[in-house]
Amino acid sequence: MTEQHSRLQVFTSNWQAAALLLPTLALIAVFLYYPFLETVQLSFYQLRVLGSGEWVGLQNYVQLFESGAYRNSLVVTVLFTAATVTASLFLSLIISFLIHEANRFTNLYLVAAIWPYAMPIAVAGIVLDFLINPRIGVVTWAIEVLTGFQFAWQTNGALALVAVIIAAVWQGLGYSIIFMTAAFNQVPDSITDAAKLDGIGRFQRLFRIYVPLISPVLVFLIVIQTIGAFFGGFALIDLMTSGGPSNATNVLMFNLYQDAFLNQRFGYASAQSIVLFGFVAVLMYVQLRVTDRYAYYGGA
Amino acid sequence: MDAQQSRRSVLKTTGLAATVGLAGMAGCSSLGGGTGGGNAAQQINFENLGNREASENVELEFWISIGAEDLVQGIVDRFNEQSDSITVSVSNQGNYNEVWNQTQQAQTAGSPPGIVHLNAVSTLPAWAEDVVIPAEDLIGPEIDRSNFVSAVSNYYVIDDTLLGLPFGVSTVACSYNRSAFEQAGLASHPDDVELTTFDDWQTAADAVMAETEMSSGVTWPQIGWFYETFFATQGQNVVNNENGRASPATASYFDSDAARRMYEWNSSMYESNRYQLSADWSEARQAFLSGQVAVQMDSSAALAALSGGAREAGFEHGVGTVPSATTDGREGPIIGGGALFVPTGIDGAKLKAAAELMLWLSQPEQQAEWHMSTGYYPLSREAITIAEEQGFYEESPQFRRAFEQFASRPETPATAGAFTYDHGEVRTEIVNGLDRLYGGNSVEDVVSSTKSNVDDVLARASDADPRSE
Repeated sequence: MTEQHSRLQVFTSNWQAAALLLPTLALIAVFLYYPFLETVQLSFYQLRVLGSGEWVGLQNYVQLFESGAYRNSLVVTVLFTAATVTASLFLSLIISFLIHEANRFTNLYLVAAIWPYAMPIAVAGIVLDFLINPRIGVVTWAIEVLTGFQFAWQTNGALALVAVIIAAVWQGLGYSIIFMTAAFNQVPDSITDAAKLDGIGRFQRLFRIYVPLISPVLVFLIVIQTIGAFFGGFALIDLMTSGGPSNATNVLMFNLYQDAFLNQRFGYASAQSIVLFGFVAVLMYVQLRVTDRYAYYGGA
Repeated sequence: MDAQQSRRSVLKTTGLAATVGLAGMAGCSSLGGGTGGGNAAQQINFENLGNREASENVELEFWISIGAEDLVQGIVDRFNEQSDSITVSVSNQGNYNEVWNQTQQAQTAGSPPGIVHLNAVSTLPAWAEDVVIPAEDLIGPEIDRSNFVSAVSNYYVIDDTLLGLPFGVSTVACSYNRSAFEQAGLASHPDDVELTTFDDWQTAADAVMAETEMSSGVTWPQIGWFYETFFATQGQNVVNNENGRASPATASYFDSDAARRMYEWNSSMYESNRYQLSADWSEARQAFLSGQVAVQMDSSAALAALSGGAREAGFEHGVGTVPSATTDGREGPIIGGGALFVPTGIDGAKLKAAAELMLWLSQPEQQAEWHMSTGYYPLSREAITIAEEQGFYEESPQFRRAFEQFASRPETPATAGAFTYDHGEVRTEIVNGLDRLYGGNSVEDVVSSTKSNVDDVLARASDADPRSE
């Protein structure tokens, strides 16, 4: 058995490997897969309080797909996710490229760029709430003074969605920048030098040469950011808008939280959780299939 | 396995594991046998109740919701000192919702605490689903409800049974900036100030906006409780069947004349900038204390903090009146806050110890201490007398004024407050309607949509309320 003699083969026994994996697997089983199965079970019950329930079959799912509020929540989530992922990836690509191109103070720029990500999300939400508060925020004040436009997002649903998208993008930029900066650093200098000798402009170099070369990292970030936007955004929305005004920022995750832990409709919320899982799983599959065509993993 | 396959499979696995995990965590666990029906009345042997002793040593957990665990523990320590066998420990378990959820989880796990502090809106589901034992069944024979301030206890009385022991009770209270009122030429002494009707509020806002540098006149947070209070001050029930107290509510009155008057007033105050929109409590407090507005509505429990904040900000604080449309037929504010409940699932010596503690906390000395330390209203008139004797109202007259407005209101279904199964959702729909109002929808549209949405909430809960059987 050639593989057993490989230098990478650290363990000689499968039992040894299994024993070492067991704690991790046990934790995953107890804290992820078991709750998941319980959630599936709960989604077929109607519960008013935990611990007591009545089997209702698919009623929660039927109710879900008939619900106008849920459809609204789905649309809001898709808009939030599309805008957050696109803006976040585009901005972090530009910022990390500029940091990569800088000759001096690179570390300083990098720290400044990832600072918001290092902030606890609750703190980031409160800080941004102050900055863009329609009445006392310095940013909204500047916008109003410079353009005459009132960024009244507390009463305007579309602006509220823009506000939470800005918050999510700002807070999450650092994560992508870390990965992209690392990826840019992996691009061989010889390619950069050759491109410069050929007189290729800076941004052409970014989009025509670097982006294809770092495409696996971009695919990874698209997947992770999409999952993050679907499941995340909760803390920011809870702190800034509580899903309002008039459910304009009520993303699926917040809707689920409200139904489970505020409205005590655990069965209905569990059905939402399963459907949300389904959405994201399908989305991941499609994304991976589509991006597979464009991502370059090396080799032939 | 080539590099491409390897990386892609890692990516796939990561994505799948993350989504499964998050979906699992997003959900909720534990399912047991069905109960339900408000049948938690227990046959308790009340023999010797009131002697603070149990037959064996008992340790009791007391879950508080409003973050005053040190203060409550201080009060409870005196109980512990008096008892040879009962030791109570107080812990803060987060906000009202968190305590409500954790109580159910603890019951499912078979280890509920001895006493929990729940919000008023959880009363009906807690009773209907047998999450709690009605307080009257526990300590009924030992207490005389006629000594209670009925305004404080009436919310929790259904079918002549007291379900929870009111604890941390407050109302909406109106604060105003006396200095700004003087500057605006308005009567500023609390005995003379005119803030009783919607028109009074409009006049006051106009005056302070004209005569001071304030850009708006009044504010309050966008919370459904304030709007239910405007129903009650006008003597209007929020829902039918005597505000959901005689039997489960089946329809709301958001299309009533009182509701229309409330929305018309709110809309015109907002459009004219007399009302400054505050998304939450802290924004409203900030606006008042920083001199952006002259009148503010808040919880009565915040009066001490507002009074102190006003002193620091350099103006004098006064307590006005929660408004009604007119003085004719004016009733008064509803209560907010919470009550203490004993969860089902405890028995024997522990149950008796919980009953002992409830009984002890209901007594005037403890009620007075709690009232004077926090500003939350006491349960009995005797507690007011104790506070009076200790000079509390001379130091903090604002509490007296707010409490008297509350305690002197007529006792009607409107002032007792709406009693519905999913009352949290009703309040959410009220706020959603207001969002539409500020977003430019007409009053008529807000009236009809809010009524329809609240009626849907009531219909969904129709079979959950055991009184409908």
